[in-house]
Amino acid sequence: MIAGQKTKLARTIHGIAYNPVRDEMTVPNGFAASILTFRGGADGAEAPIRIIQGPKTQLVSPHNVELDIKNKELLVADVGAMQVLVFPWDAEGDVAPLRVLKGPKTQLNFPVGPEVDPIRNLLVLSTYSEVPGKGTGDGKILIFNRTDNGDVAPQRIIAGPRTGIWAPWQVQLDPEAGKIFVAVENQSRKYGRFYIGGKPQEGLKTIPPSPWRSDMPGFIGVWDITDHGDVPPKAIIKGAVSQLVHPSGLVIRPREGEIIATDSVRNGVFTFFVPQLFGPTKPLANAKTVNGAY
Amino acid sequence: MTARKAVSVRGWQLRVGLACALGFLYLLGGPDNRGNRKISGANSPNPSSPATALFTPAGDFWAGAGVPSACAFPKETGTELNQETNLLALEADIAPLRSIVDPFPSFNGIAVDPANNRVILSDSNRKSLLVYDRMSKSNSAEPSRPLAQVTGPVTQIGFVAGVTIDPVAREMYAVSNDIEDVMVAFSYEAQGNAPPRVLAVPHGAWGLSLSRARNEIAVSVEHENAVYVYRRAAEGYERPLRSIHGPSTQMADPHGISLDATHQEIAVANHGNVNSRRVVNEQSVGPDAKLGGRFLLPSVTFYPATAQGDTKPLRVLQGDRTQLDWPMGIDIDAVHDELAVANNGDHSVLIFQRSEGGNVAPVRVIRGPQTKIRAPMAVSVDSQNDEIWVANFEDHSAVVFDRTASGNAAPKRIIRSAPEGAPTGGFGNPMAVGYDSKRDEILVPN
Repeated sequence: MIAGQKTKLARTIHGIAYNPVRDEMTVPNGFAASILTFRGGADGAEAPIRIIQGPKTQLVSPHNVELDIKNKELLVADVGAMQVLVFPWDAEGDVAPLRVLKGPKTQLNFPVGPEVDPIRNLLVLSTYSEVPGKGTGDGKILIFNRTDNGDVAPQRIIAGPRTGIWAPWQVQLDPEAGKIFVAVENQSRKYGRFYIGGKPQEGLKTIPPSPWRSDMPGFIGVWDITDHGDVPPKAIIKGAVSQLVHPSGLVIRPREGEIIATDSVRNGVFTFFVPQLFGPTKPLANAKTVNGAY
Repeated sequence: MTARKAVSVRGWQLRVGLACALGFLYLLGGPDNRGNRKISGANSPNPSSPATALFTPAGDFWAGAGVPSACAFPKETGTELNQETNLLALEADIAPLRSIVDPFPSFNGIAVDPANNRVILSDSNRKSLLVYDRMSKSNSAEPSRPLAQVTGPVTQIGFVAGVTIDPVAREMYAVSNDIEDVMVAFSYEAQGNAPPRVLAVPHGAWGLSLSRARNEIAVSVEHENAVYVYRRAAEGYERPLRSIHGPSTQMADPHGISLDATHQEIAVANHGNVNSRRVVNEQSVGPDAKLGGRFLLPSVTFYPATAQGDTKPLRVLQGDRTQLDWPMGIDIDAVHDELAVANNGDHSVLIFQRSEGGNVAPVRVIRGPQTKIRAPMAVSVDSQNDEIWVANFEDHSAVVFDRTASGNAAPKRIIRSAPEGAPTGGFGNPMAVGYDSKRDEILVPN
């Protein structure tokens, strides 16, 4: 466990990325607008080996991080300014980002989980809205060109009622198979934040019984990288037996056929053995509609 | 088997069946085939076990998201095979192959009521409030039996943090740090899925402190670097009486809070993280706005109890001699003029002279393996019985010392929420996960 004041971690951290080439772990500290990188074997009250922080970085409230191993870049989803920042993966100090994806055309609102497909040179991430008075929603998977910069529109958007996406969280890619895996938490915040600008919003009368969307349990969904529009997932892990209520963190191990997910309501980590979700399958010789058994 | 090989349906069903079987074995505490650390009673606490029978299963938290009763084979929906992708459209309610879940409460906030001989603890793992007899102690093999556990969807206890009490009104209060954005108040007699009195608070609330003499309750708000003060019995969308926030306050990621009616002060523990989010969001990006994040030393800042707006602190406890290290909950002992700090980062409790500021050493430190203090989240001083209570996050326990205990002192009593030695996952709202391929380790930030 890495903990304590010297680590410069905050008590709340919503992202982590491991670099297998450099044997490093990188996490955001949104409360100090910084990105911390630790050596892979760090333990106890160990200080980070690099920190990105300062006004030039344009970091406001970094939320999630990911690494583009092929291009040696660090991606940061920043919910404080509704942006995605890209740095060299060994960036340190008060440095300007290489690229900043930001602006109304991007449709970024609460960006989470940027991931790079190095084969197709794409950037994929999730976003959803926190709308005052209405809560979360309008969840989308946005697909950009990897090097998009500024206020640019995504190439493709996966969104709509058939997707089942209300509030997506961490995204993972299987580039060889062309698959997008998404932890769709969905559960939280049926209603908007009560306070804006230091006081309760005008017009609110009764506190709702619960902010949780218990009618909309979370799931892990799989889409194709070429999907666009209101497309249902190709596969879903969902339901009471799965233990998933509010899946948020996600990491995949394609060779092992495993999906590892955190669930912040169950307060746990769950590993699913689902090799059939990785890679294309051969056509089944006697394929029938899935209503029947094989 | 590699993921790239085609998988026949029969083979897939056999593998999933094996996964279900393994999942059940895991649930029952069976062997772990991957050598991963397991938590006894993971996922489905055995109701017949004395250790777990005391607590409401996690599945009750959401209506409809019940504790699983069976491992189901994947069921397909009425969707045809996708001819382009060759992948079945599949909705699978399958059991995880492995789970890391702690079935026992983990303590966060604590408040002791010597007048009514009760101690109240918040549980951020299983999302509850637990009430114990003040003189409870644990037989090491068994957890302590609580007088009550308040939990369930009606309670609105979710990612619960600080607690406080009103011994005269016989009420207990708790605040949530995420999602719920409310403070809830219950009668001491509340039990189970009880309805609370609810007050809307800003997002990111953490610490709570009530002053009967001032008829006020103070809330620290981490995300805003602010303190909000409400009427004690405020509810609904009642506005705060006042708030303290702004760069002059020197609040930096505030956590613990203590409202001292005797000396008319508010004390706030800060972790030292500063960002410009409020500046950016409120568009107050003028020439004086400090953009960019900063790391400050941890501190305890003191304000007049009636402070409002961008108020400079009366004094600031800060510096290397203070030994502050992720200071979490704090409590002012007005009778003995001392400040107690749950020093999470180095597993200790620090006691300062209340009136001191600057880079000063604590007058006492409780620290060491015999103390059983592990990642303390809160402290509560009982000046009537001359005791100090500490809520541990890492050890399923609350420990009690003589108020003047120092050094590597053993606790007088221990309240346990799990059998002694039960491992804790240490999770608190885990929203991300990574994988270290070199060490074959799962990385979970909280």
